[in-house]
Amino acid sequence: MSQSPQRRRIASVRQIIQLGGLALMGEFLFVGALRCPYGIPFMSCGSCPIRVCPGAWMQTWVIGFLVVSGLFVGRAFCGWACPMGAIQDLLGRVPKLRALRLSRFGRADRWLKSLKYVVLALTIAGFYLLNQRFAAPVRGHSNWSLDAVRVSWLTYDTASRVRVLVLLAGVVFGLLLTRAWCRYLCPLGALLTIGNKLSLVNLARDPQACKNCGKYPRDCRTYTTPGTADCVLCGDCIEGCRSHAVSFGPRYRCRSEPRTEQIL
Amino acid sequence: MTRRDLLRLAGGIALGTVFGGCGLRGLAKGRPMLRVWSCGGNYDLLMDFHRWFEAETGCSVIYTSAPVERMISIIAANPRGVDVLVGRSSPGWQDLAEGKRLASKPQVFALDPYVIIAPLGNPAGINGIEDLKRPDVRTVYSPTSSGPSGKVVQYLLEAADRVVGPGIWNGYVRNAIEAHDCGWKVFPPVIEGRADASITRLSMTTARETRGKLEVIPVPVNVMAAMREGQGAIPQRVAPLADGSSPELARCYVKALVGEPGVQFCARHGYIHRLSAETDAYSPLFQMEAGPRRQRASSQESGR
Repeated sequence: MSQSPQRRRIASVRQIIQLGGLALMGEFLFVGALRCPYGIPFMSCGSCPIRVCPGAWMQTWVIGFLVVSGLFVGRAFCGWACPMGAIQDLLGRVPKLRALRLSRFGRADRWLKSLKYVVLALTIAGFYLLNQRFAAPVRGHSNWSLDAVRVSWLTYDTASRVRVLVLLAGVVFGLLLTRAWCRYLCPLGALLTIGNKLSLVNLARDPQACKNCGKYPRDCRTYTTPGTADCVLCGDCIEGCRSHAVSFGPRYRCRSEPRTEQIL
Repeated sequence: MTRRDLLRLAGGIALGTVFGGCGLRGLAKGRPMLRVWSCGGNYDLLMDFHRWFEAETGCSVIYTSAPVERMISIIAANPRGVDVLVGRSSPGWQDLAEGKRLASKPQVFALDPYVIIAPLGNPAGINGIEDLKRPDVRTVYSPTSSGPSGKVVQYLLEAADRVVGPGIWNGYVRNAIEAHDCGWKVFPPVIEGRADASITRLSMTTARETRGKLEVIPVPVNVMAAMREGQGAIPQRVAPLADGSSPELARCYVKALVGEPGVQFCARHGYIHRLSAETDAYSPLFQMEAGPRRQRASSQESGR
């Protein structure tokens, strides 16, 4: 598939922002996912005695950024800035596994996509019902210390180990199915789908230019059409559309402006 | 940026972080490594000490901290690779000694005594531990922290009931305006003046967040010495482990921490080093042992 200059520009900018997000928040993700002593990671940083964890200062900024970005651009955080999304995209680019890679999980795909809402419900319930430390607070000479990860694992109870294994399984599954974690399991992604319904900026389709060719969701990294809640606004469809019918734009327009169908 | 460029860049970042942060960093630099595990309360002290030790010896210290009983249970099950253990005097040390996991007898290198903290200016006029039971004193405490199982402050104030006068523990709890699940959370109410007093470890009053923001009132040594349980939280021990991979370096580490080089670091982080000028005043506490073995079950819960 040849790439237009606009697509290449969007893809390059997105990849740079993703790497920036990975550099900035990767440490937070690493510690939270593998060493957080709380049942629901990333949520109780203010109560945690591990004062050297990046969550101690980063949590407020990340949550603030998520709220603002969710209101303005919906799930664009998932497609553009989330460190887990960046890892999933990188795993989806490992060339040797291309032959094994699936575009979706068969007919179960639609139902599996609903799984993330179950995970979100469990996360919210767990946070409010079980917001306590489940494991020992472990610190290392560096937040990237694998020794600290090992000690955390050895001090974890079964529920905490299951949490880590589910997360790692979601990551590894991303080798075979692009953005598997984001599609099926991510509770944050599930929460941000609300933003996709309300955001000021979204992906819009020009119904006059659209030829309804059905190219998407086949070429989409989350196997969705630009008109669904699972869209991460990566912008791939902007180039993928040969009729140039898809573009970023404001959801709410004045009546005098030319009509563009809002598809999110 | 092509896919191959992106993968190379991401691979480079991943390798850099792994080599930079994990246990391979010493290997990558060709330096000897020393793996040190400690109790979580010793983190600030040992991070500072390790910077000096690495500069002096040219080694890389791979350091991890967690509740010492957890560390001891891991070492007892899988002892290989850990060179030095540092931590409060919990009963598990005896298990390690009996299981021949220690290369030499653990040494008490410092004390971390309990103190009363008050807002700057001490508006409630706290002069001693007996003032904590005064009805006009607002206290804040953390019943589930400061292992074993958050009971050390209770054991301390029960000792004060016996040594100083009755009703101090009950008064301290009755006067509490807040109770928290983390020892660090008692500081903000006191610093902000919402509470008049709390009891904490001296080392915690020298952290970046608390240094210079509090009045620190000592708890009498005879009260701490009279504790019937939980006294192991005060003396801090260090020992080289028998199955470590760098026995020479471990011995050197212990010698430095117990000896003269350790004095300045302990002073900086609120510990009473065994060679410091205050040692004579605190001498009964250096004799303290870990306390009854029945503490162990409750202390294993303290990390939760």
